[in-house]
Amino acid sequence: MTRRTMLLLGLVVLGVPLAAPWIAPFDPELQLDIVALRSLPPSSAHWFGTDSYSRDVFSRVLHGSRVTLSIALAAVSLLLLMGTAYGALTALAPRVISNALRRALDLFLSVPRILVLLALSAFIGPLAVWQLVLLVGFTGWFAVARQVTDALDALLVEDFALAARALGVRSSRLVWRHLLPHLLPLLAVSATFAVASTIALETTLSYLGMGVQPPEASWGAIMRDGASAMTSEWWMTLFPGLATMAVTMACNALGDALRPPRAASQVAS
Amino acid sequence: MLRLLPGLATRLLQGLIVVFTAATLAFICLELAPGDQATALGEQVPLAVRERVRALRGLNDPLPVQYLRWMRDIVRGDFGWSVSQQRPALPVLLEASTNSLMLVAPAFVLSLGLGMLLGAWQAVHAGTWRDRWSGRLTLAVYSVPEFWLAFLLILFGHGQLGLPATGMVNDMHAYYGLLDRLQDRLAHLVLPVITVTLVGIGIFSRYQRSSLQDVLQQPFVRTALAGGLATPRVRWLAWRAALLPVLTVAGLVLPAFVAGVVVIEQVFLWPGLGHTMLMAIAARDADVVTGCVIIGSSITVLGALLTDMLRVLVDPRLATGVSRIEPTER
Amino acid sequence: MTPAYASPPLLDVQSLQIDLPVGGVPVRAVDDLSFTVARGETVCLVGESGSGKSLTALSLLRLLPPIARIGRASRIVFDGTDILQLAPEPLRQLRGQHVAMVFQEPMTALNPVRRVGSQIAEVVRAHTTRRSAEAWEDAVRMLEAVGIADAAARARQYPHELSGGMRQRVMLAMALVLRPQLLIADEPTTALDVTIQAQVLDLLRAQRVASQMALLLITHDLGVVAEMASRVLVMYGGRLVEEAPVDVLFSRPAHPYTQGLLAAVPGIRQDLGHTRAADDEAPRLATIPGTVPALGAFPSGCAFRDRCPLAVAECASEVPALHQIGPAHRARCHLVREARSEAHATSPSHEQGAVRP
Repeated sequence: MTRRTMLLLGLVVLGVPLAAPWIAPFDPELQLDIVALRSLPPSSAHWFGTDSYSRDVFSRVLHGSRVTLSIALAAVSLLLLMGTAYGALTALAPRVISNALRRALDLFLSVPRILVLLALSAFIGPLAVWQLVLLVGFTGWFAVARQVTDALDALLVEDFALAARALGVRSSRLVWRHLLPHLLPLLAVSATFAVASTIALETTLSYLGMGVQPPEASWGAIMRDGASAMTSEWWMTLFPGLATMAVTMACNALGDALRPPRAASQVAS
Repeated sequence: MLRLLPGLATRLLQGLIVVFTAATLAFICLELAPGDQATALGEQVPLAVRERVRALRGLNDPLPVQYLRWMRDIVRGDFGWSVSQQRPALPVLLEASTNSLMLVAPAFVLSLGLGMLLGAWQAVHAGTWRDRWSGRLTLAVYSVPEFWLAFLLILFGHGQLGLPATGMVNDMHAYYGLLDRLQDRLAHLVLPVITVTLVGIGIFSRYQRSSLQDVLQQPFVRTALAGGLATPRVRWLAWRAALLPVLTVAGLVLPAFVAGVVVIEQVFLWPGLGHTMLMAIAARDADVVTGCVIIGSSITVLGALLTDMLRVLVDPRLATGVSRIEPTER
Repeated sequence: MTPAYASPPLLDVQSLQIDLPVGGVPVRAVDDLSFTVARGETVCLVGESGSGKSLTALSLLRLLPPIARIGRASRIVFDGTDILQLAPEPLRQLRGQHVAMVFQEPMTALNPVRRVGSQIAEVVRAHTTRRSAEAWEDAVRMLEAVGIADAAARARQYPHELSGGMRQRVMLAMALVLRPQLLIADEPTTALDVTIQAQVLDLLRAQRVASQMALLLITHDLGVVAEMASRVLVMYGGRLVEEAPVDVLFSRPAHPYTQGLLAAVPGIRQDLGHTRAADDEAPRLATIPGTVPALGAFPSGCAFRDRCPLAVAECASEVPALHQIGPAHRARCHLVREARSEAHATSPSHEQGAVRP
C-alpha cells in the first residue's frame, strides 16, 4: 500500500466523522414524517432509506461514525497506555515480581473479553459513553502488554541496552530514551489493529443492547433497531454494517502496511 | 511423551486456578448486582413469599458464608437451581454445553483446516493477484462484526435458499422419522456453522500466511533447494516448520471463539452456553450464570492445554524447553 | 589467461553480471566476473563483505533471491552445460548431486523441526532410488565420515541439540553424501571456533583427495587461503581485481588492495604496508584507510580508487581492465600496465608487474 493510499485512508476515516454535521442531509434524530416517510427503502431522496421512526438512515450512519470512532480512539489510547505501562513494568521488574505479573497476564488473556463485558454491562445496567470507553479500554490492554513485554525482553539483551546498563544508565532513563523509541513501530501496528477490533467490539455490544444507549446512536445501535425486521427492512442493517466493515478493513489494512515488508522467496511462484 | 507429564500437572493446576478465579469473579459480580434470586421471581409474587424464599435459600446470610456454601456445592457437583427454568441448574448447563459444542467443534476444525490451506496457498503465491484478492476477501471477513456476517448469511441463506434461520430444530421435529430428524438438525446447523467457520478462516489464514512467509525466508529453505530437493517437497517442509505459530494462535484464539459464539447464538437463537448465559443474566438466574462461566472457562483451559500438547509434538524445540516461539501477529 | 590444463575446466564462469535492486534502483553487485575451476582444484574466492563473493556463489546454483537479475551475456558452464539455461528438473538434479553447496550460518541453515539424519537421507532419496532405510544408513555413514562420534545416535537428534561445529559438519555431510564433483563452500569456518575450523578444513582436504572433488572456497580469512588454495581470486566492489596461484599471490601481490590485505595481517609482509610511522614512533599496524562502500555507492572508474594510496587521475575516469602479469597472474589496475611497460623499457631483472609504493 503506497503512502498516498495510507494518507487517503487516514483522511477519510478521520475526516468523515469530523465533517458529519455538515455533510449529513438531515438531522439524525429528526423524525421527518412518521406517517408518510416511515421505513422506506433507499431512494434518491434518502440514500440509505428511513427507519421505523422515519429518520434518515444515511444521516444516522454519518453521525454514528462520530460516536463509534470517538469511542474507538479513546479506548485504544487508554489500552495502549495501560498495556505499555504494564508491559514495561513486567520486563523491567525484579524476577519475582516479573514472574507474578506474567502469570497474571496469562490469566487475563485466557478470559474471553466479550463475556466479561457482557456480564459486567448487564450488572451495571445501561452504560454512559465514558463508562463504555473505560470498560472496553480496561479489558483490551492484555495483548498489548504481552507484545510490549516480549519486545522489551528481546531488546534488553541487545548489545546497546547492555552497554547502557554497563555505563550505569538509570532504568527510567533507559526506558524513555533508549527503549521506547524502539517500541513505536510495534505500538503503531498494535494501535491500528486495536482500533479495528474495538470498532467491531463496540458495534457488537451496541447491537446486543449493552453498548451505546439511545439517544446516542453508533452503528451497532442502528443495526439493533433494524434487527427485528432484518429481511424485510434490510437497509437498516446493511449500510451500517458496510460502514463498519469498510472502516475496520481500512484500519486492518493500515496495520498490515505498517509492518516491515518481507522479501520474496525462492519457492514462491 | 512421558517427559511431558510434570509440565502437564502444572498446567492442569494453573487451569484449575483460572476456572476457580473466573467463577469467583462471577459470583462476586452477581452478589454486587442489585436484586437476587428472590427478586428474579418477579414482582407479581408477593413480598412475603419472596422473603420466605430468601430465608430458605440462605440469601440473607453474610457473603463469605454464601460463598463457602456455594463452593462446597460446586465441588460436590451441585450446581444449584435455575430460577428461570425451575429445574436443577446442572441439566440446563449440560444441555447448553452440548448445543454449543455441536456448533463450535465442527466450525473450529473446519476453519482451522481450511484457514491453513488458504493461508499456505497465499504465502506460496505471495504478491500475485491471487494472493492480493483472496487476501482482501479474508480481510473483509476478518474485519466485520460476526453478527453482521450472520445477518448477511441469513439474508441470503434463508431469504434465497430457505435454510432455517433460527433455533436448532423445527417445531415438528419430535414427529419426524429418524432420517428426517437428522436432516432437520443438519439443516439448522448450516448457517450458524458457516458463519463461525468464515470468521475462523479469516483469522487462521492470516496467521498461516504470515507464518509461512516468515519460514520461507529462513536459510534452511535455501539449503534444501541446494540439496536438489523438488520445490513442492521444499514447500511441504517449510509448511511443517510453519505449523507451530498457527497452533499457538489456535490456542490463543480459543477464548475469542467461545466468545464470538455468544453473539452468533443470539442471532440464530441457538440455545447454547452463550445464549443461556445472557438469558440467565437478564433473569438474575445466578446459579446458571456462574455455572456457565465455570464451564466456559473450563472449555477454554482444556482447549489451551490440548493445543500446548500439540505444540510440543509439532516442534521438537519446545520439548527441550527452548524459548517460546510466538506468532508474528495478533 | 587461465592456465592451460590437460582437460577443459569443470566450471567456467563467463562474464557473470548480477544486478540487485537497492531502494528500488538496480545496482551492479557483480560486474563482468570470469574465472574457471579445474577438476580436483581448490580455488579460493577472497573478499570482504560487500565484494559480491557470496552472491557469486549463490548464482552458481541459481539460488539468488528472485529480485536479483543475472546479465544476459553471463554464462556459467559446468561440465559443458550452461547452468543458467537449464530447465528446472535438470537443475534440480544438478544441485546436491554434481554441485553441492555449504552455507555459512549452521545455526539457521538446517531445518529445525527435522532430525539431522533425515535431512541428509532426504538428499540421498531426492537423487537416487535408495529406500528410506538405506538412505538412513548412508546418512549415518556420512556423519561418521565427517568425524561425528556416535553417529547413529546423533543422526536422531535435532539441530538445536548439536553444537555449532557439529551442525557445520552435518551440512558438510549433506553436501558430500552424493560425492559431488564441485563443492562450493561459503565461509564454512567463519562462525566456528579456531580448533573446529582446523578440523573442518582437514575434512575438506581429505574429501578432496579421496574423491578428486573440486572446491570453490569463499572466505575473507587469508589464513584459510594459505592453507587450502592452489589458486586465489580476489574480489572488490563486485569485480575480480586479482587472480594468481597462491604462492605468487602471497609473495608478489600486484594489486594495491591485495597488498593492503596482506599487510593488514600482522606478521605477514609488513613491507607491503602503505601506512608509515614517523621515525621515532613504534611501527603501526597497517590498515587500508576508509571502509568498503555500500552497494550502489561504488566510485566511478576503479572501485578501490578512493582508498588506494597510489591512485592517479586515470583511476577515476576509467575502469581498469585485467592485465596479464605472469602466466597465471592477472590484476585489474592501471598501474600494473604501466609498471609492466616500464619494466620492459628498463632493466629486465626488475620484477614484472608488482606495484611498488
